[in-house]
Formats: sequence, structure tokens, C-alpha cells
Amino acid sequence: MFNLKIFAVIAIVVCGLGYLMYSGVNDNSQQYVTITELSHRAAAPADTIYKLKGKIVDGSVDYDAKIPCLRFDLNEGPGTPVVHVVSPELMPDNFKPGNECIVEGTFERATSSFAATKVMTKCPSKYEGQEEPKTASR
Amino acid sequence: MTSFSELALYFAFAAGCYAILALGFGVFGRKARLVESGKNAVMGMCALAAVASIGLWRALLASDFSLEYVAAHSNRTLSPFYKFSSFWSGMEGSLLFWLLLVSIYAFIFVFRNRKNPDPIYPTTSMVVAIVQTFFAGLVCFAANPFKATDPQILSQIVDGQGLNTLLQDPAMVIHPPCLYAGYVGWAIPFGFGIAVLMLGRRGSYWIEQARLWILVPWVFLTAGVSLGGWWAYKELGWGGWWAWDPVENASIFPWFAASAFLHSIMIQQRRDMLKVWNMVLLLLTFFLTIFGTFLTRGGLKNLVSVHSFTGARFAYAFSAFMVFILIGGVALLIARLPILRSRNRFDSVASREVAFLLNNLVLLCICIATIAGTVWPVISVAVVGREITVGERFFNQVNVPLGLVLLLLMGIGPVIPWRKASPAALRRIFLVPVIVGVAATAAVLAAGVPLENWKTLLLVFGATFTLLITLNEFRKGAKVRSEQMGIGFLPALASTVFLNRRRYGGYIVHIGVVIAFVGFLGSHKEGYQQTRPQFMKEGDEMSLSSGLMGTYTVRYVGTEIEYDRNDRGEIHSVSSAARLLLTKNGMPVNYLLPAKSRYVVAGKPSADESTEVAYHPTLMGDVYAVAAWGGDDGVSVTLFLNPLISLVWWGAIIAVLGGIFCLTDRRRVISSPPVARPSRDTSELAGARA
Repeated sequence: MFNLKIFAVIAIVVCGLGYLMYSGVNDNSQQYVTITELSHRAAAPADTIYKLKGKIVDGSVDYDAKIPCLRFDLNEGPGTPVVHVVSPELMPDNFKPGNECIVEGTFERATSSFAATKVMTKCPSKYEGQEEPKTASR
Repeated sequence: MTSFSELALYFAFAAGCYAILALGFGVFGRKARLVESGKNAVMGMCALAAVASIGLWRALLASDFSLEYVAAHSNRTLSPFYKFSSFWSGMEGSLLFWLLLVSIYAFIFVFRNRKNPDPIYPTTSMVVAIVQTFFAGLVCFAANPFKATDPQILSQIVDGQGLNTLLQDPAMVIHPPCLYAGYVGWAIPFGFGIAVLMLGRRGSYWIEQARLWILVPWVFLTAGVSLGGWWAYKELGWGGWWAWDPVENASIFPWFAASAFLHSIMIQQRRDMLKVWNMVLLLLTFFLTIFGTFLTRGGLKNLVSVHSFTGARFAYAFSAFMVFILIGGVALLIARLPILRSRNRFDSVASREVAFLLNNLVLLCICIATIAGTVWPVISVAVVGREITVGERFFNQVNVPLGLVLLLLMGIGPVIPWRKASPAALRRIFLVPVIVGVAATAAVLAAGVPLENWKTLLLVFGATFTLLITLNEFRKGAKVRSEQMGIGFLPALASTVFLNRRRYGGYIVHIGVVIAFVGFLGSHKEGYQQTRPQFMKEGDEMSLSSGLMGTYTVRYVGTEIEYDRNDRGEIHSVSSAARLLLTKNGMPVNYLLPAKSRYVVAGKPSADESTEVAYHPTLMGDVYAVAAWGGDDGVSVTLFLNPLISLVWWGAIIAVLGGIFCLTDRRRVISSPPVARPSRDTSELAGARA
């Protein structure tokens, strides 16, 4: 009898977790797509929140700190599709052409631009792949 | 020196292989001399890892760019303090640091128990040696920090690339060692658990034997996670301290499982229950430390993080090791299920056992939700074929309600009677705290917090309820002692707490957690944080108000250029700082100097700018500012009011001190005596030694 009660308590906790996770995913999911995938989507729903990762294209950064407004292009490398990003955020640290950047927001088909609510540059606070020390001053 | 250090690494790997075999054959073949030899190999491994580490530190301090690692993570103008910490700022060094720490733990463990004939100690050492050898193998063959720089490149290098500017912070010197010590330390409790299963131990005495080795990593883990949050707060400049990023989450997975384990072993000790569950939690905790290490090194390539990932360089090695831990541990557990059968059952839902079980379930739910949210991109690809991520709000939406339940259980668990609590006992224990909690909640409602803000109301109730119950435990203990000994209340309180450090240390941890919870809500952007960005010209003002902190105003006075010099007088960084006069009710309070810094590499400021946060701490919260320049005629300032943020740090400090206080109680509790074992035993090994 007591084991049944314990089982009921455990079931309530597990169901509670299930509900919280289900509603959490439903309310907060963002589709991670590559820039190539996004550029090929004929009809991206305006309310879908996307997460994109790419490299900041050289010469594309236009920043006005007064508004503030940060405009730049992202691609996945030379010769790959480009997406134009517009953000009302201040320019984050490590934001420079060639660096990796993650943006969250919606894609506006009419203007062919990505309205980013969040712009994050990669924080190399952890463990980068070891490359040749090519940026060392020579 | 360097080649000698590298050689030491290879010898450490060889010593690890030998230690595993010697301890394995020694314990199970009952050969005492082999066991002794294996123990010596474990201790030798520590010496060899130390030699290798000293070699790398020496190379970093001497700016020896003939090593790729030094050229990539250090430079000449870096202060010795940060040259020292650049040891663990990259992949190779961090893995060597892992090896060094686990070897130090293993050395201390073997040395402390070197004269104890109980086979549980060498068996535990053997398991730890497997972990050491895995990391030694990685450092030797996959991520060697002693890899030489290409001679052609070396001849052209003037200076190293330097340490990432974000890592040039005192918190980053302390945070990784604490976190690592918390991570790697779980190798020893895990070793105990596996040894118990291998040796077929029936009792729960091993928990007492392992107690020190369980508490130490928990304390380090708590300190490491908290320091990580503190570093993020004062260095990253987004106004918060925890963003549920995969790398951050990886640091806290094992903390949830470990905290659940710490609570449920009390039930095993007291009631001889939950033995299988405890083994599962122990395996899970250690597994999550390895999984976290794997994750932060890019093991799951689908994860998108603002932290850099390495791109699955060691994915196969880590995956194989994790599968080995999982399959080996679970198989052993299943094989030993008959001896892990509990002697008791739950007597009533209204009991301490069930309260602790619920605490376990809630902690595990938070752990599962955090893991699921972190690896959701991987899960979604497997299930629906599309990569879906969940943002910060998912974690808050799921974990905040669970955290509030946990807060209540922290009050209920330690005071509800074991086995079965009568309705009268429940009334006696909880009636006053419930009434006071309701009164506090009503007061907050009357002060203007709306009903829709249910999180605040529940937090006020839960924090008041739990704090009152916990403080009452101190009062009750002191009162009894005062009456028994005929001494004053305060001396009685001091002696009660000091004589029962294990119990009251736990209460101190709970008080710290309650305080931190209040700080979480006060300072969070979904709580009471206020923020405002504004472009400011000289003389412009910006004001921000908070019900808890009042109204603060900043006036932009101008931009200053600052030069930071290292201990040799060389310019190390150049900063542009916005001088902001901070006033409250028209009265000057302080100057804030949020800045952008460029670090000097090879005599020139680097192209990368890093944000330097400025904040003014007060009792009720911090005024926090960041600045960015985008034109010649002004500066963009983002001002934050972070109410009660100091409670997060104080809560963490109190929790860590509570854990240390528990540690100082070295008495062993034997509630569930070990059952005599007919198998190969202490006496046999002791006999073999003789």
C-alpha cells in the first residue's frame, strides 16, 4: 500500500517534469539552420525563431552606436551564401571580420535580412582546436 | 627540460598501465607485494605528472615559444600570474591539468590509506588508476602540450599570441582549478562504488570510508561553479552571471547528481535503503564529470555555444571511455543486485525518507532537464530530423518551478521524523513556519507585488519557511544544551554547532542556498533586474530606478585613456574608459569607469577589444555599466540595476563554508553495520601481506 503511495508521488514528479519540459520546448524552441539552408527556404515562417552560426564577412560591418544598430553579413566561408543581419544590439567583444558569430532571431523574407535579437561572438574561454600559431606576430 | 617533461608524461602513462595490472592482480590474486607495487606506481604517477606540469609551467613563465602551446596561449608581456594560469587555458594544458589533479587526489588517497589492509582501498586505487591512465594516454598521444613549434615558424615568431583577454581575470585563475578539482575528485567516490561492487560488500560502511572523498569534490564543485558565475558577471558584460550556455551547463550537471547523492546516502546509512539508487547516482555523477569534460571539448558537434569548441578531436576516445564507464558500471551493478537489496521499506509518505527521496527526484529532474535542454539539438536531429535548440528561457521555465519545490523540501527534509510522522508532529513542526511564511508572502503582496508574479510569492514563502525551520534547529539544539550544561545560550549554541559539525554544516549549506535563491530572483532579468541603453554625449544623464535599490543617475563626464603596466613596467593593455559620475538622490556616490581594452602583443595593441565592466556594489544590489564607442562624439552606455546580486555570492560563500565545516567533523557514523563477508577479505589480504 505504501509503495503504491510512493509510486504515486514519483509518478507526479515525473509527470510534472514531463509537462514542464514539453511546455518549455514548445514555447522556446529555435530552429538551428545553416545559412545555406536558410537562403534556400522559399517561405520561412516569419514567427519562427532561428539560430544561425557563421563567419562575419569582411567589409560588411556597419555600426552606429547612437541608435544602436549593427548591420553585417554572415556566411559559412568564401563562395557560400550570405545572409544580411540587422541587430539593435551593441557590438559585442571579439566582433571582427572572419570571426565566428551566432545570431538568434527571425528571417524577414521581404527585406531578405535576418532580424537578430541576440548577437554572440565566440568566447574562446574554453578549448579551441589547436592550430598553427599563425596569428602570432612575426 | 622540456623533453624531460615530455618523457615524464610517457612514463606516467606506463606507470598507470602497470598500476592497473598490479593492483588488479594483487587484490584479486591476493598478492600483497603486487598491491604494494601498484600503490607505489600510483604515487609515482603523481610525481611524473607533477614533473611534466612543472615543465610546462617553466616553459610558460620563460616564454619558451619553441612549444606550440606556449606560443598559442601566452606572450612576453603577460604577467607571471596569468602566465601561470595560461597552463589550463587551452586544450592540451587543460587535459594535463586534469591528469595532475586526479594524480594528486590518487596520491593522497593511497598515502593516507597505505597501512590499511582493507582491500577496498587498493581496488579503489585501481579504478582511479584507470581514469588517470585514460587522461595520461590522451595527453601523451592526442593532445601533447610539449609539441614543438615548427622550426620555420619559430624563427619568425616575435611574440606569442597571448592569453585570451577574457581569461585575464583573477577569477579565471581560481575558477578552473576549483572546478577541475570538483570534477576529477569524483574519481575516488566512483572508485569506492566500483570497489564495493567488485568486492561484493553488503554493508554501508564504505560510505563512511568514502565520506571525505565525497565532500571534498562537492565543495570544490560548488566553489568552481560559483566562481564561474562571478567571473561571467564581472567580465562578460551582459549584466548577468548565468546564461545556460552548454559549457556553463556542463559544469553544473554533476553538481545536481552529486547533491542528490549526498542526500540519499544519509538514508542508506540510517535506514539501509536506496543502495541501488545510490550506486546509480554515484555512477551518474562520475559519468557526468567525464561527459562535461567531453562536451566542453566539442564532443557533440551539433551544439552551438558562444564558447569555442574544438570540433570533436577526441570524440571517439571520450565516447569509448564513457561507454566503458556506463556499460562496465551498469553490468557490475546488475550482477550485484542481490547484495544491494534493502533491508527496509518506506513506512509512510510523511517521513524523512520520502522527503529526501523527493529531494533526490527534484534534483535529478533539474539535472535531466538541463542535460536535455543542452543536447536538444542532438536529440531533435535523432527524433524529428531537424536541429532544434532551446534558449535560456527554456531552462528558466523548467528549472525555476523545480527549484522552488526544492526550496520547500530543504525546509521539510531535515526536520520531518524518520519512518512516519504523525499529524500532530507535522502540526508541531510546520505550523509556525507555514504561518510566518504566509504572513511574509502577504506582506509582499501588500507591498505591491502582483499575484501574476507567482515566482516571487512562492520564493518569499519558501525562503521564509525554510530559513525559519533551519534557524530554529540551531535554536533548539542550543536551548537543550544550555539547559543540560547550565551555560548561556550563545556558548551553548557555539558548542552545539561545533560538536555536531556534520549536521549543522549541512544546515549552513541550506542557509547559503536559500540566500542564493533570493539573489537569483532579485538579480535575474526575468526577476527584478532593470536595464537601459543610451547613447551619451558629454554632460548627458541617464537615470534608472528599482523598487529595491532606489533611483540612480549617471552623468557622462568624458573618455579617459588608461595604460595598464605589468610588473616589469611594460604597457600590457590600453583602455578607453567612460567616466560616469554616479549619483543617488542628487548626491554623488562614485565614479564608474566602464571601458574597452586592447591588450598589447609584440609591442602593439591587438585588434580585439574586450569589455571592462564597471560596477558599484551596495547592500541592496549593484549598479553595473558597460560602454561601447561607435563614434567620435559620445559613448553608448548600458546601465543595469541588479538588485540583491550580492546574495548570490554570499549564498555561495556560505554554502562552501558549510561544506568545509561538515568536512572538519571526522567522526564516523556506523548506523548500518557491515555484514560479515565470507569472500576474500581484509584478513586474507592482511594474511597475505604477513
